Amino acid sequence: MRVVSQFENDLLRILQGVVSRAPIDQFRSQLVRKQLRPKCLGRDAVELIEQSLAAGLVMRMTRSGAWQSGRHLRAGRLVQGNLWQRTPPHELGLSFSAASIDLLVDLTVTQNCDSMPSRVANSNQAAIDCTLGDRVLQYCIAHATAELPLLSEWYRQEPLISNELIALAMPDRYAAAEAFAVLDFEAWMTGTKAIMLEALQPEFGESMLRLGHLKSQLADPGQVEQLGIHEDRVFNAYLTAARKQRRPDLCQFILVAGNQLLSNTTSVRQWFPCLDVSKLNVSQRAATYRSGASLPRAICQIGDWHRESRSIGYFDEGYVESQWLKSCWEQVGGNQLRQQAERVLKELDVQA
Amino acid sequence: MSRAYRVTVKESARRVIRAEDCVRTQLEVLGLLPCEQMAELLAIELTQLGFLREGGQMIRDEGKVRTMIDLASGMVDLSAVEDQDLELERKKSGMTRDDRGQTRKQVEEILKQQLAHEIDEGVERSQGELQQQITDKLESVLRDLRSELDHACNRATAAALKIKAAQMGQIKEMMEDPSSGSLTIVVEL
Repeated sequence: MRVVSQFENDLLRILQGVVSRAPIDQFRSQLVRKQLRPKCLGRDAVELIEQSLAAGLVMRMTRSGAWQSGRHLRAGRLVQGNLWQRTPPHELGLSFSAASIDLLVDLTVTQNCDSMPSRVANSNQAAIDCTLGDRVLQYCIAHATAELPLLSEWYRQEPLISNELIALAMPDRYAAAEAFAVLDFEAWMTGTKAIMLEALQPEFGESMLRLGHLKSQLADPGQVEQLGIHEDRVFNAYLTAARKQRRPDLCQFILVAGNQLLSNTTSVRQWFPCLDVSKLNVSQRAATYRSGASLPRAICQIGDWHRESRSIGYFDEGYVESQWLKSCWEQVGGNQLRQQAERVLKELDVQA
Repeated sequence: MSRAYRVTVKESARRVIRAEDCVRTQLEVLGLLPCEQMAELLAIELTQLGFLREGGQMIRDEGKVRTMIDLASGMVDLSAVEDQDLELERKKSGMTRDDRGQTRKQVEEILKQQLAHEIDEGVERSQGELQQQITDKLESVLRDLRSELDHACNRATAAALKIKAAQMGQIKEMMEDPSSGSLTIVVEL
């Protein structure tokens, strides 16, 4: 039998809630309870944390989308099946460092929008030392606590500010940040990092739908612009990296989410039904509307890739990628989707 | 018995206020022919809409709104500027117990500051109203401009198609439906 303290019990409850995608109410009380930082964690607690991370994150990634059968590109070849069918086991391992334990302890201690502890805040080393497992855990924590303003200050500091997964799924978290971190999506286009992106495709798609809904609720043009700046920054970096590393399959979630968001759009006004631009002049309105159109622009960019892929022959470089893109494009009704996206951009371009 | 004296201060200001607004968009012109030829075809269509040519640009003025189209890039710039001469005069009164001396000067100073503040507010209000007028004018031009320019681009594209078809071979048949905008060209190669 394992024995843990009250603090360690709360930490484990939070970790369980995070990795099992449980509703926030199941571990909200542990998150907001005032706690004193212990000097160290017990051996039993550490072993339980290790087990939760090892087994829990695997289940988490499986539920997120790893179970789904899909077609992806690996080193210029097409592989099919769910994640463990198309990936040998030795490529699926995640390692964790002390940064994960520290983050969990900080999460358990922190109460109501506190800043990160000073030993972690403003520490570039905190970002450099993070393993892939640490990054995935940070993302899972951000995803699980999305409804709470609990960590709002944490997103402006390392290591969360430079977590590419969080930036991709939740660009709105950084909308109030004063400084931008450099996002290196190229490193995520190969190896085990790319495999994590494959597994999270459905979740990224859900995030895009959430962002679309969020934007439709915004009334303040300034907020729309801020969000648009971050979205554009993230999309541009991601699409550039995917293009360079020839991984169009990792952009599938943009097409799928775009299909859902644009197919129901009969009028451009549906994009910003609550937006109040009455106090803005025409040039400010145009800038606001343009900044809110990151998704249609991303779709058009992928559409350009598709157009180029039509001229890639069997013996040309990038043939397999072009074939994948053509088949995916057809599956999502890409031509119609692009027309919708262009129509939205055209109407938003000069929208008064 | 002490008396109260009325102090009256008058301030006037003359300002020139300016309001401007602009927006930019892009024409969609298909590259059926070389850039210069497409530009010429577009220029012909835009001339019929009242645009005047100035070098590589087509310009049209509608009141305070200027529309400029760059023929090479297809960039459309709409801008509206208006200046207004503003004359504001304000008067304010206060009371003081001292007809001459420090107290009267203080009251005058306070009244002048209040007047200056009121004049600034008046200027700001007039600026806002002028800005709104300019924005409304630009909006009304914008509303019709998009469809006007789309039609012009379509006609330029149709003209380009005819030239291209003639370059490819002999035109056997040409059918044009102005109501739907469709154009069918049969070419013998």
